Amino acid sequence: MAADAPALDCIFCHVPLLPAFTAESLLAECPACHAPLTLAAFPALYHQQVVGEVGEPVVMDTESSCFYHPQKRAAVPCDDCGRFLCTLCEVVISDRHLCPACIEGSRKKGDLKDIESSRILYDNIALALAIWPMLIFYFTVVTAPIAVFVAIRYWKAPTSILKRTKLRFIAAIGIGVLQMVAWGAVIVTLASKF
Amino acid sequence: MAVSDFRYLRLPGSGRRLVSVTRLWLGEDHLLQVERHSFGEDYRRFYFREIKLIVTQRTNRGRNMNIVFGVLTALLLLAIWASRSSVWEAWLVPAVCLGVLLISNALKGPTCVTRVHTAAQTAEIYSLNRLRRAHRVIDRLRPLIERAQGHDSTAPRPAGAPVEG
Repeated sequence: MAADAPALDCIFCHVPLLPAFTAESLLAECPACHAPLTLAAFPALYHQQVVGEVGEPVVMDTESSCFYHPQKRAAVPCDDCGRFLCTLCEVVISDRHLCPACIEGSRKKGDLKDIESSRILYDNIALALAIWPMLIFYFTVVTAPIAVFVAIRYWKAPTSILKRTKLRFIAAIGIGVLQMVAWGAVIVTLASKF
Repeated sequence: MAVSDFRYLRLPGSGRRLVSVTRLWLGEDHLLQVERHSFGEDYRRFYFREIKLIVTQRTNRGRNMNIVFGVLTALLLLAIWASRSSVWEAWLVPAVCLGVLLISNALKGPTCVTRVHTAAQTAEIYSLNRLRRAHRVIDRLRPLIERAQGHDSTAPRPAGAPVEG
């Protein structure tokens, strides 16, 4: 039987498939509805799940202890803050040994790309604020300065973790400034008439 | 490799959902599924060392779409034939559009659902929604995943013809 197998069922009849996986054979079809499957199995399917360590207790007074668990032996220092960590507290991310506090701090600052699950695309917001209100031009008197503000305020904010240029920010600023200039011209013209 | 040097390579395919587009990217040691909304992105990572299975199941969606497009195109062609003497041009544009959709859908091949199974999660890969494309991508990923897991020649190979895709 596959070790620690995740939940897996047929998309048609929802019958669990994994109990039918054996060391000798893998299913080529659903055992209930016989819908064909294409499986790519990898060695991890047959590996035992690695159980995390809880940390060894400090035996001698001369041993360094964990910053968070003084009764447990230190295994590694945190690569960020240098605090000693036991094997329970140590988290390895991108080949770095980090403590939970540094992970939380890095997550808030957007320094750890490998654990981020979402990002806001401020450049898209700025560009949308610059473009969409043009459908009803009167709205741009409000949205144009907001678009420029958002573009400048979030210029350095983390954007997509994929490769992305500042082109949208530049476009938002350009379009927003043009709209403000246009509104300025309209106001000056109206003021000169009255 | 330092995080700042990290590069992703886009894998073929995209899964369009109601308000988002999902694409798959190949990283150094993991797959990254990016779901892009209007103003944000959601990320899901599948590390090569943790992937146990990639399961592909053929669905009838592509065939059903072909039937719908085919019937509608046929109806419009019938309408063009019936109204030859009058304004038959009005039916031509939608007929051509539907014909293009029909041919495009037929050329893309059968549809499927692809799921990745790890010890921690079972997740659908929305961009691998065409059978041929899914098999191509899986064939490309297979050596990378096996290398990351330390290729185990003693591990039992799947039995049955369709198993290897």
